[in-house]
Amino acid sequence: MTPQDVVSIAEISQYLWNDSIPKQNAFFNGSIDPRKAQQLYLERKALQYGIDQSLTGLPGTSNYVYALCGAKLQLAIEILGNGNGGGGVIPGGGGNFSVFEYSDNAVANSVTIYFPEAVGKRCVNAFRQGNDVGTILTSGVPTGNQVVWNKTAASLTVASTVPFYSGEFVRVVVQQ
Amino acid sequence: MPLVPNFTASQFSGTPSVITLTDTSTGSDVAITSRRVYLLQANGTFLVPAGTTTDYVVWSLVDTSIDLDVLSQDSALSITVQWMSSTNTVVTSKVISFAFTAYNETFYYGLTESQVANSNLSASTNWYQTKLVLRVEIDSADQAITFASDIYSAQAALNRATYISTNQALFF
Repeated sequence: MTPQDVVSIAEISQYLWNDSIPKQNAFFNGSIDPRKAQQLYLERKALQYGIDQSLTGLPGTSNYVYALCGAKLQLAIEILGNGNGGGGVIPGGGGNFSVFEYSDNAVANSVTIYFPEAVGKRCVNAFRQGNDVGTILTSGVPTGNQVVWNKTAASLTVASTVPFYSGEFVRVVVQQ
Repeated sequence: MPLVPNFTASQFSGTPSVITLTDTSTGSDVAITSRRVYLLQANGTFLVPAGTTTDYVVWSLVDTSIDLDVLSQDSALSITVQWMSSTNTVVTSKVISFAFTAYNETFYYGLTESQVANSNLSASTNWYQTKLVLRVEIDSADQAITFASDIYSAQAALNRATYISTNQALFF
């Protein structure tokens, strides 16, 4: 990987981090360093200048910026390679175990809500209006506070006795 | 084919005091016998190499490029190149503004190198805040030139950046 590749990966990681930070602040009480995106910008600019001018220390600087990409690194590499946001599988890399979260507002009295971006992923947690649901089943009919996650359809189904109310905020956390 | 005047300017990290102009004109004009360069600063004065008694620098037509050792800090310059006739009449000219930022960019790169050697530096309260300010000033200078050829705003930004880099003990 060349320093110029690292510049591209850092640019992608920057927007990925920048997108993650507000979500983390909302849902996980700000567990990500809020300076992460700015930090990547600052160091990437230095790296670009070093490349332009063929300055000494370029390998170290390049590795430093590469490492700063942190948890977004693999996704950034994939986006760089594919040119799109794509899925999360890393060829030969053992899979992408990053956690993703999706949310939507439910329709009144419905019992199923869909998260198309989560197709094929395993649901590790789900929330109704911010509250944990009960057991997450992968088949059958849910009862009480149980839910059923259908990874093929990326649908979350709740018990018919507790349908969604109008605009209910539903969030799922999924993993490859 | 008439002469279509053009030129580029560059500056290198290792020799930040030197700016290199390269003539990228196309075509030709038999009336042209000499060439001059004016380096206008934001304060309205002309920058010339030591020992030059005119406001301009003569750039021989046989040389595609010329090195001018004129800078002592980052500067925004409006550079005019004039192609002259034998009677010293301007046949054609070209004016382009540039922000020369190698002094501060090199210092900025050095900050990152320092972090590579000692990542704890960035944990300091002021480190990233000041580095961010420095980045913004350098970028602002570039933007002022790119979008408006505004050497006054660019120079003001470069002066603020230079204050940080030449007084680093106060900031980092």
